[in-house]
Amino acid sequence: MLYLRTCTALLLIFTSFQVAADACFSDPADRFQAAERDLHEFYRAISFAQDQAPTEQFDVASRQALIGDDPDDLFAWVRDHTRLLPYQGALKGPRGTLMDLGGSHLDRALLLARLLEIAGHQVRLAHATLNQDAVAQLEALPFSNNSPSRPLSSADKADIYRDLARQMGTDANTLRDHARVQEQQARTMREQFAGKIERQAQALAAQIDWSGPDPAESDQDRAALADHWWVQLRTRQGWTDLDPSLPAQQPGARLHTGPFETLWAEDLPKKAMHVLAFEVVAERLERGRLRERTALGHEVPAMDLPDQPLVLEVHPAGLPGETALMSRIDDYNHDRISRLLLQEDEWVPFLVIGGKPVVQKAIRIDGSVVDQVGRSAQAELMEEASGLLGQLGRGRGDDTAPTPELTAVFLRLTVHAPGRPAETFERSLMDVVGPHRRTDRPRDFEFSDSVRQARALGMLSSTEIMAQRSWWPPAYAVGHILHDILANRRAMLGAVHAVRRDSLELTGKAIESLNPAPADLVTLASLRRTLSPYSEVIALTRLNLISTFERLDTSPEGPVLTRGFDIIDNRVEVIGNSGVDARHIRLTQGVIDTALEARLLDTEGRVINTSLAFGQALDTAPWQPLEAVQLEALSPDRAAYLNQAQAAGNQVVLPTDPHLVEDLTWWRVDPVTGSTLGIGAHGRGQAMVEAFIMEWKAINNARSTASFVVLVWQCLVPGRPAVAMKCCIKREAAKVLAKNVLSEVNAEYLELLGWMPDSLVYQLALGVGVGHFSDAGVDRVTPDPC
Amino acid sequence: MPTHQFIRNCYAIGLILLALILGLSASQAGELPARLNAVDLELNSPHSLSAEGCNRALHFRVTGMELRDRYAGHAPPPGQHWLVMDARVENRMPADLLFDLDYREEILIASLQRQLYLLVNGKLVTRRVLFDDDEGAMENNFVLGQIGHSMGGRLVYPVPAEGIETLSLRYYHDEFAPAIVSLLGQEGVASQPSQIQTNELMTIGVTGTSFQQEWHGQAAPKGMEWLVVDLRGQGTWTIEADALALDRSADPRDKIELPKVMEYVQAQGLLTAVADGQYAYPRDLSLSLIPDEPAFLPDAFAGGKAVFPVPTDAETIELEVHFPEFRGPGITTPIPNSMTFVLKGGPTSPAHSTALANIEDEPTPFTLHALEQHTQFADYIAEPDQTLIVLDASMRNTSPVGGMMAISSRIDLLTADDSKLELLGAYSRGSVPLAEPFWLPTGGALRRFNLVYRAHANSLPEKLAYRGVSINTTVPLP
Repeated sequence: MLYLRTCTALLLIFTSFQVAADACFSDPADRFQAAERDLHEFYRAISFAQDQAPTEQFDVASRQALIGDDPDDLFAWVRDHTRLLPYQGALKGPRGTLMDLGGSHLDRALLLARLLEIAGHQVRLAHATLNQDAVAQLEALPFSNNSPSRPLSSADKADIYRDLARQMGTDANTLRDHARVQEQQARTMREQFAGKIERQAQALAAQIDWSGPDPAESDQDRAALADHWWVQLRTRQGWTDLDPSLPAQQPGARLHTGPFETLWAEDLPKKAMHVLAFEVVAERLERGRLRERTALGHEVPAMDLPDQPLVLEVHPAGLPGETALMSRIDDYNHDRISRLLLQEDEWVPFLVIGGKPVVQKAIRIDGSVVDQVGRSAQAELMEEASGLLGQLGRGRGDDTAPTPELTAVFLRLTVHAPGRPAETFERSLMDVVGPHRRTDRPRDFEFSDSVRQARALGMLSSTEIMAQRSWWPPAYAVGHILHDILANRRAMLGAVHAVRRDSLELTGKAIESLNPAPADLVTLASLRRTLSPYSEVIALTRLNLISTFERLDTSPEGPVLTRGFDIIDNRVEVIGNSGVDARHIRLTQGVIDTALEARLLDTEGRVINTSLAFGQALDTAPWQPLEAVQLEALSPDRAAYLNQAQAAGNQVVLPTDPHLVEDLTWWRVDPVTGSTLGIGAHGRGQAMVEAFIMEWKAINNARSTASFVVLVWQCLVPGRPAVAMKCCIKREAAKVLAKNVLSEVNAEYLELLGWMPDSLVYQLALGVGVGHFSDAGVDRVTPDPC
Repeated sequence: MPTHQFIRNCYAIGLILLALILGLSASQAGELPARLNAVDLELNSPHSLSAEGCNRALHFRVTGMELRDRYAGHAPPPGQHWLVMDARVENRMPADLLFDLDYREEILIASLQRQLYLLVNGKLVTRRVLFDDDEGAMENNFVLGQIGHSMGGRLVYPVPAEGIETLSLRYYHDEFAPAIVSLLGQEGVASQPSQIQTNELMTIGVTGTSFQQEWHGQAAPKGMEWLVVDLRGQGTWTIEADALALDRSADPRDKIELPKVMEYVQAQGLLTAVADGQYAYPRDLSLSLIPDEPAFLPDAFAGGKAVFPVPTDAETIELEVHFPEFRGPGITTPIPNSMTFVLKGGPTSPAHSTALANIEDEPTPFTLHALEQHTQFADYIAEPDQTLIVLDASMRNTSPVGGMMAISSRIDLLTADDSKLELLGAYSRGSVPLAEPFWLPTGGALRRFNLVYRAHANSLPEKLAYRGVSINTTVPLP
C-alpha cells in the first residue's frame, strides 16, 4: 500500500512539474532544460515552504525575539510554558528544551539562561540539592498540559487560504476545495493506523507476565527532582534568583533555602551532562583467542549533538573516490573492481558529526589498528588506487608465524547520564564469527576464502545514528527534510547537467557532492510521538538512539545489499496521569516504533519486521512467550540472541515455530517498565530490506562507498562493450541521484505531512488514485543519457 | 504540545506543498491575467495578475499592481501617480553556468534602483522610489543565496497621471540578458526622435519640444516659461560577458558583448537648456518626469520629459548634454563628447559683449560685462537708503576638461574702506536663481550670470575682489 502511495505521490509530483512550469520556461529547448526547469520549480516551492517555518518552536533566538528583552517576561515564559521532567542533568540543552517545552531543572535553567543572554543580560547558573520538603512540593505539582492544541476554525483556514494564495499567486478557492477532500482522508488514515497499533499492543500485552514497579526508578525520579538548578541574573543590586520550578515563583525567590554553588553555563561540568560516547573496536583472532583494539573513540555531550544524524562509515583505503573512479572508468573492468573490493586489506572507520569528520586509526586485515598517514579513500587519487592493486597482502608480517585475522568490527555506543549507571549498546559492523562461536571455542573458527570475501563485503558498511534528546515537532522535521532536499540541489542539477554534457567526470562530481538526507530517520523521530495515542504523557528523559544501516552481505546468489532501521534504545518516560498503565503506554510506544520502521521501508521491497510478521500471525498462528517455544532447532546464533535478551530481564515473544521462519523476528518486552522493541535477525531493533545487487531495485542510496561501488560494478559486466558499460553507469548514476535526492525524500515528507495536524498532502497522494509508476518520473528529471 | 499558531504554520506548509503537487503556480491559476489592459488601470483600484519575466538566472513575478495617489504618506510629484506592485524575484541559476563556468550559485542584486526600471508607453523610463518608512518594500540590495531563494515585496515607481498605455518592468545585470516583465498592454515601436546624437556611451534624441507658461499647475517664474523637452536615449556601451550566460546553446568558451544600461550620472548639472548661448538653466527636477539621473536602456529608446525654466525673450534655446569623465575598457577619450540640440532659433554664437574688466584667470577667465544699480531685482527690493548692485559677468573654460564651478564664493564687492557688500544671490538671466555649482563646459563657451548685492546708497562698491583658479586679485570698478 505504501509503495503504491509513494508511487502515486511521485507521479503527482513529476506531473505537477509539467503543469506548474511558469511561462518563462514553458518552452524548453530540450529534455535537459525541461528537467532543469522542473527542478527549479520544485526548489522554488521548497524554499517558499521553508520560509513559513514557525521558527519560534525550535529556535531559541526566535522565541526570545517573540517574548522580548524583559527578564521578567522571559522568566515567566519558561516558568509557565515549560514543565519539569524527572531526569538529572543537561540532556536536551536550550534548543531541545524549547522543542519539548520541558526538561530537567538544569535544562530549563539552560533555556532560561540562553534566552536572557540573547536578550543581552548577564546570567549564571545556581545549583543545590533540594531537601525532602522541597522535593515533595515538586512531586505535588499537578501535571500541566502547557499548550493545549485547538483545531483550526473555518475562519482560521480561510485566512490561511487567502494569505497563501496571495503569496503564491494562486487561487484560494482551489486550495480550499482540495484541502477539504484531503482532510477527511487524513482522518481515515490516522484512524486505520491507530487501530492496527492498538490491536497489536493488546495482543502483545496479553503475552507478558508483568512484574511490579522497580522501586529504584522512583528513587531516581526523586533524585532528579532534588538536583536543583536555576538562573541568577545580574542586576544593579547584585544577582537576582530566577527559579522557574514552581508555578507561582516570582523573580527574586527560589525554592532552595540553603547554601548553593554558582557557575557560568559554559563551565558546566561533564558529570552534569548526558554524554554519548562512540567506540569502533576491531576484533581479531590471534593464537586462538579473540582480542580487541580500538580504532576510534569519541564522545559528545548530548546537548551539543547536532540534529543531523551521525554518520559512521568504513571505507576501503584503496578505493578511489567517485570522481576519480568515474573519470577513469575506462581503466576498470569487473575483475578489477572486484579485486578492489574483495582483496582490500585496510579500512578506515570515520565518524561524521555535524559535518565534521572524526578519523583516528585504520583497521588492518590482521585486526591491528594503525595510525592513518594521510590516506583517505575519498581523497585517494586513481593513480594511488591503481598502484595498490599490486600490493595486496601488504603488512601481513612474518609468514612463518600464525597470521592474526580480523574477525569483527563493533560499534559501541555508551550513554552516560547523571544519576544513572552508564549503558553500552553494541552493534557489529562486520562479524564473521557470530555471537555463538564468540563464546564457544572461538579458537576453532577457521578462515576460508568465502569467509574472507564475506569479511571484505561486510566491511563496506554505513550507519547513520540519530541521537534523539527531544521530540521533533512535525514542522521541525519537515523543515529538516526540506533543508535536505535543498542541500542536494547541486547534486541533482549536476546530474542532469552531466548527462547533458555526456561527462562521467561530472557525474562523479555530482555524486560526490551528495549530502546525507536522512529523511527516514527524521520521519521516524517525528512520527513516533505524533502517532502515539499517549503523546501528551510520554517524555524523553534519556537519549533515544535510532539508526539506519547499509551493508553488503554474501548469499548463495551473490552479494546482497541490506539496509534498514535499527532502533537501539527507544525507552520513554510516562508523566502525568492518563488513567492508563504506564507499562502499557511504553509497550504501545514500542509497537508504534517498530511498525513505523516497516512503513518507512515499505517502498523498497520485501521488508523483514517484527510488527509486520506479528500482525500477519495474529489471526493464524499467534506468537507466544519464549518459554512456550521450542528452540532446539534454531541456529546457535539465533538462540544466542534470544537467550541474551532474556538474560537481561526481558520477556521475549516470538513465533511458535521459530525454526521454520526464514527471517525470524521477535518482541523484546521489559516486564517492569513495559519498554518494548521489535527485534530482527541480528538481534537488533531493526527492520530491513534485502535486494540482490544485480537486480538493483533496492539500492537507492549512493551515499556510501559500498553502494556507489556496486553501482559501477553492476555495469561492468564481463563481455559487455565499453560503450554500453559507460552508458549503463551514466544511467544508473543518474537514477541513483534522482532517487536519492528526490524520490525517497519526497516520499518521506509526504509521509510526514500526512500525520501533521490538518495536513493535506499525504492524503492527496492517496486520494487521487493509484497510478502505475515505473521510474517515469525519475526518468523525466534525469533524461536517459544513451 | 502544539500551539494554535504552530498548527496554523503546519497547515500553511502543508498547503504550500499541496499547491506544489497540484501545480497551483501563478501561471496555472487561470483566473489571473498575465498582464493588464490599459482600461483596467484606475486610481486606487488594486489588481491581481501573474506577470513574469526572466533571464537565464533570475525570474521575476509581479502578482499585484495598483495606481495610488498617495503611498506610505507620500504624495507623488506633480502630474504623476505612484504605481505600486507586489513583486518577487527568484534565483534560477542554470546548471551549465554552475558546472561549466563555475559561477557562484548566489546572485547579488546590487541595487534595484539602478537595475530594475519601469518603462512606460515604451518611451518613459522611471526609477524605483524607496521610502524609509515603507516596511513592505522589497529590499533594494540583497543576495539570493541559492537556487529557489527569492525576495518579495513592494515596488513603487512614479508614473504619469494620464495616458498610460503600456508598462513593463525591466531588469538589467552585468552578466545576464535583460529580464522583462510585461505588465500592461503591448509595447509597440516608439516614435523616432527628430534629432539624434551619439557618443561612446549613449545615443540621445529629442522627440518633441514645447514652451509652456504653466506645467502641471505650476506657473513659470516671472519673465520665464517652461521648456518641455521629450528626451530619449539608449545605452550604447557594452561589456564582455560569457555567451553561455545569455544563450544556453552557446559554447561555454565564447564571449559576447552585452549592452549595458547607461546612467546619465550628474545629469542634474550636466543637462542644461542654454539661452542665447550664454545662460544655462538646469532642469526643474520636481516637474520633470525623467529621473534626476536618467537611465538609458540598451534595448529601448526611452527617457522622459525634462522641464527647464528659460527666459521668455530668449532668441535661441539649445539643449546641451555634457558628460563627466568616464573610464572603461576600450574607451579612447575619458570624457565622452558633448551633444547640443537646437530647440529654438539657430545655432548660437554669443553676441560680442562689452567688457568692463577682464581677469585672465587660467583656465577660467572672468569678464565683467556690466555693473548696474537697481531698486528691485527678482524678489529683492532696495530699502529707501539702499541700492541693489547687479553685477553682470561671465566665465569661460579654456581647458580641455569641463568642470563644476561656483562663482558667488569667488567674488566680493568692496567699498572704499574695504567693507564687503552683502551678496543677496546669484541669478541667471531672468528671475531664476543660478544653481551652483554649475557646469562650465570646455571649448570656451560663455556662462553668464548676475550677482546681486545690497549696498548703502552712500557707500557704493569701488573694488572687485576675485579669488580664482590661478589668480587672486582685486580690480577697481569703473
